[in-house]
Amino acid sequence: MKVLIAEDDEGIRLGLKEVLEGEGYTVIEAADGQEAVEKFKSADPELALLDIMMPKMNGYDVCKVLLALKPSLPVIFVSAKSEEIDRVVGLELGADDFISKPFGVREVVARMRAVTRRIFKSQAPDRREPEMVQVGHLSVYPQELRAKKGDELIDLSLRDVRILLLLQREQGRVVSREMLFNECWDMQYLPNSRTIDQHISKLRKRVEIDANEPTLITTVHGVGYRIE
Amino acid sequence: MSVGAALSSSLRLGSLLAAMVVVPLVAVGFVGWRLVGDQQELARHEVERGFAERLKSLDQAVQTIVRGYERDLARYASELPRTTDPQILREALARQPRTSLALILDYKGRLLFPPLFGGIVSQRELAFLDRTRPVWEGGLLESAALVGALDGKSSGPDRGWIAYFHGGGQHFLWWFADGQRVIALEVSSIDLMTELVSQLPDTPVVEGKESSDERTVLADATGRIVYQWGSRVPTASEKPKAAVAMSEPLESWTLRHFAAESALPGAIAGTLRTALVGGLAGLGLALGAGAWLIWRARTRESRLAAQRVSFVNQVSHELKTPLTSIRMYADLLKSAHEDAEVDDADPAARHLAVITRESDRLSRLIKNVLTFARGQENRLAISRRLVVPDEVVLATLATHRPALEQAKIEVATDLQASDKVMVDPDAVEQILSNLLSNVEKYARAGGHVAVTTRLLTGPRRLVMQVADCGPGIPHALRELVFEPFWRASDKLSDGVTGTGIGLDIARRLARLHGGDLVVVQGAVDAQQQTGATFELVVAAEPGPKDVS
Amino acid sequence: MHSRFKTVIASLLTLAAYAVPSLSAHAQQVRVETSLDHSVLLANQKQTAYLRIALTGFDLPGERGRAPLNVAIVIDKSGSMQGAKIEQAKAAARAALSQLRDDDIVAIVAYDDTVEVLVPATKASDRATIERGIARLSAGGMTALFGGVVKGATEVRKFMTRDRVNRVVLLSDGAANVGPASAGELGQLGRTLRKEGIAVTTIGLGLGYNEDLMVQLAQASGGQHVFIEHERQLAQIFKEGFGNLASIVAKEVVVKMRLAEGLRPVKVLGRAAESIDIVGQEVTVQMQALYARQLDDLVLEIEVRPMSPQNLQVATVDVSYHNVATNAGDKVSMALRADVTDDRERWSKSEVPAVRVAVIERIANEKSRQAIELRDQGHVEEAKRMMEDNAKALQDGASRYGSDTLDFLAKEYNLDADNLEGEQWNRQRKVIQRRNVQSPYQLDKNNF
Repeated sequence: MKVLIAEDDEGIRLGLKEVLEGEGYTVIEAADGQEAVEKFKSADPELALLDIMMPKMNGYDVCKVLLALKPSLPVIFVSAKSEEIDRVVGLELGADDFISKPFGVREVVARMRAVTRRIFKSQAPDRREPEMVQVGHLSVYPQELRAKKGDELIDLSLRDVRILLLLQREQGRVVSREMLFNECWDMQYLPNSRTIDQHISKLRKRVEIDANEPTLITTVHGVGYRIE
Repeated sequence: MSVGAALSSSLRLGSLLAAMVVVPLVAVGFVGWRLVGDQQELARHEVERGFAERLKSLDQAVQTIVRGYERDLARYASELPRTTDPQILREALARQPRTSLALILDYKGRLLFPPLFGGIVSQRELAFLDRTRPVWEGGLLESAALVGALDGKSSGPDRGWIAYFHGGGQHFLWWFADGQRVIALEVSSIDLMTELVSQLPDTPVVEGKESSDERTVLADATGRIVYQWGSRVPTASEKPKAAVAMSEPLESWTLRHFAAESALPGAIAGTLRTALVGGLAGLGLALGAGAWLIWRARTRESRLAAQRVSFVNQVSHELKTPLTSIRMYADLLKSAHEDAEVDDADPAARHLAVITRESDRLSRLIKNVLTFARGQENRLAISRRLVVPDEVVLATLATHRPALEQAKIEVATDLQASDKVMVDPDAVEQILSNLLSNVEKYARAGGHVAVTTRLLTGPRRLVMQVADCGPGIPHALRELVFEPFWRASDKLSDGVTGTGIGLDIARRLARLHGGDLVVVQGAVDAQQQTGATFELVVAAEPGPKDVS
Repeated sequence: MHSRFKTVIASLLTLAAYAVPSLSAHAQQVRVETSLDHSVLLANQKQTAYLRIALTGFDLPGERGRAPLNVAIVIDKSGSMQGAKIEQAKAAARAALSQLRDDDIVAIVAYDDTVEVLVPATKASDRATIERGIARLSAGGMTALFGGVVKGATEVRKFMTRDRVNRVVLLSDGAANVGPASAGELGQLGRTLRKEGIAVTTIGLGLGYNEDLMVQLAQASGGQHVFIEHERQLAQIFKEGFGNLASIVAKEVVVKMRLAEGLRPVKVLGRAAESIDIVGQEVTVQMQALYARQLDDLVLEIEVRPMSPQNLQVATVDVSYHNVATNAGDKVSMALRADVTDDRERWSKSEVPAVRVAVIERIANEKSRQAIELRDQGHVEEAKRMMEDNAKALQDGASRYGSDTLDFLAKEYNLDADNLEGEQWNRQRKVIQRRNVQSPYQLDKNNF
């Protein structure tokens, strides 16, 4: 899923990029409003994250343009402008959400996931992910980016879902890191094996009944991972 | 204040100022124009009256001439020999310069001279008798004859004028009754005219240009111009600026005065009008300047306020942006650190925790400052959302956890507001956050803070209590603590931080929420220690008191 | 010339024979001659006789004796005077000025709609001021003739003394249209001014002026009337006129005649009616001023009742005037006696040619006035016939009495008869009026 990030502050932009890529999104960067519109036209992302106070064209105007081009586009405003009026204006323009700075990573992730869920819901039925996929003891709801572990409801990232679906698809078979990489990671993002391992490890912590004793996702040393 | 309100207010001010400028101008202008018009009319009348006065004095001058005539005639009449011998009378009359024809009647009104009855009359005398027939035949002078008659029968004037028309021209007789007879001397109108014209002014000769654009016209009984002077040539339709009828015996004669419009104070009116316009312009300028100054003063306030607002916004933006990065990267570091599964005792974790904690704190402070600024501007507003208050409380507590742990303060919760209600989560968070900050600052180390939430009905309300075991707030200071900038201790050396605006903000937000934040008598805790207990009550539904 | 001389001598002798000395010849006195047309009257017969009074101005003893003048020149500056006329008028005024002595008083008044006194009465020595006034003369506007004359008279009045010749000289080219404008009214003005001792001489310029008005004003006031056809002539005539002004010897000339019973005065021939007063047997005629060495006369028509033969005192004549040379009043009185005879032949031989000439001229003058009236009424043919008859009578008289004057006049009257139509009539009428006013003995002179 492609996400356009328009933010003139480099630190924040790169930070957001890292967070979103960690989530499994393909990030398209823009440092000002004009670049945002241009990149949008050429890349056609599924989501836009817009700062408001940007040079060349402010976030509101960019939002108007983008929505004119793609009325169904989900837009999240990210801004230091935090007055009520700014929020109202943003939402009235058609944005889905408004994140005020300073924000924590967690907040961004949560909002992203919420929007993504909505995106999934709005997709055409034939294009959708299945509603529920059983992965071991885990009931995975891809469209909702959630999984149920017993009674517990677990939030999943996009990548998490992809990984689980992939592993489930290849159930019984080993999925190599390379395959994981190809399927679940972007071409732009070249993780090393450590990243994949770290990610699986983190995922385990959440989905496994006991992370130290993984029963769902098993490591096949030297090769990859597997779901039994 | 919302933008809409601001706009309408400046519109109001603008229209008020415009009215302040326009209304006096219009009023003064209208009245002034009318006044000028009236003044001009007045002045015109004055000038016209002046002309009329001049004509009247001319008439007076003519009267003087006529009186002189009359004196001469009286002398002739009294000097006429008291004889009926026509020849003697003729000779006497011939000697007189002014007249050569006369009627003499006895006091019974019978014609004595010219001797029509029983005497010879010349052609001239015949013609004279013919034209004066109505006078001596018609008894016009009969009553006059009685005046001063020896028997003193009647009283009245003993002399006078008779003007009559004959043959298209006007003729004059001057009669004099001496008690025995009436003598009517013919005064030829040409004679009178000659006398008048020789004494009336001629047109002055001035080098180069016309002397004055005026003309005075003397017209006789038929309206014919007898004589005129002055270089103005009136147009065919021009009306005289003044006209007077002359006195006896020329009462059917007129003096008319023509003058150019410019002689009348039209030019004055023009000047006056120019002055008026000038004055109005000056007034308008003054008013406009005043209005502009007021506008500027007001808008300066607004501008200053706007500047201040934009400054505050700018500052907050400037502060928030790096803070976002700090926060975000601290988070990223933390998650990477977690991923790396490094030893918990690693100082890096502690360091990161500090960074996160302090950036949170900074974030809150900035938020407070912004809110405070807005509160000063009365631009604070709340926006209700359907949220679970307990979740907000928990999230807030989570953010404060590091600080509270740092201060070695235990947190106890009793949360029973787990329904979704319409409250502003940010406001609730900020209120709780500020209260917790105070706890961090003032509570004793090793103390505790208890947070309780309840949802009440009738009307739907959220109640939240934050009780600490700090020094407590004396009863006398219960209201004072909420004053902005008030801090329990002002001395920096006391080691107490804070700006003193936290509680002001919290209360404002609470009140905006249709509720209030107060200091209540707290329950005595288990350790028999009492601190400060703050109670927040907010309406859990949108209400009339909401400001959004 | 010879015959004329003869006639004069003859009449003188006749008069001497039958008349009480009627000559008065004083070096500084007006010479008065009275005579009937026939020195005898027919008895027992009603007849018409003519009494002629002839006045001759005496000679002025050089410059010293000349009366100082007090003249106001009143100039019409109405629109019609624009152009050459006003310029010539200025030249005329300057010409007049050149004839004045330093102690003469002159004023210059100009009128159009209104009256401007360009030069108030001032001594002629102040030539610069007068010249400035003349220079200011510019034309345009209407014609306030009455006002102009009155103002002129006002100026004259300022320095009016008995010893001066007090006159208003009026120059106009048009009809009056502001103020009194009729001949009658202006005549009245003339009478008024005459009483004061101010005469108005009227100069008619061109063919546009009202000659009746100008004539009446002049005659009533005892002034002269001159017709100047072209402005070119102005300066010259003004010079002559003003020069002649200086030669006035007698003013305020009044002739009183008292006729004997049985002799009824009918009318004074050929004179302005205003200056004649006939009351009973008394006839009073106010005459124009007399110029040095100039002859003026009047002719009185008398109706003679049939009376028996006798020697009759026909009339007493008093001529009173102000003598300019002596600055005193003069009176010349005389009585005229005549025989009343049955002798018809004696009567016919007693014809006095000079008187007859004067009578013929006067009758022609009267008829000429009637002819004008006829022509004014549109009876052109009748008027022509009358004028031609006039001319014939004059011609007959000229032949009979050898009078050059009558001969000249006959030619003039024939000219009148030929010019009764259109524009010519306009001009001719002015000529006639002028001639009627002028003394027949000064036809070649321009007296102001």
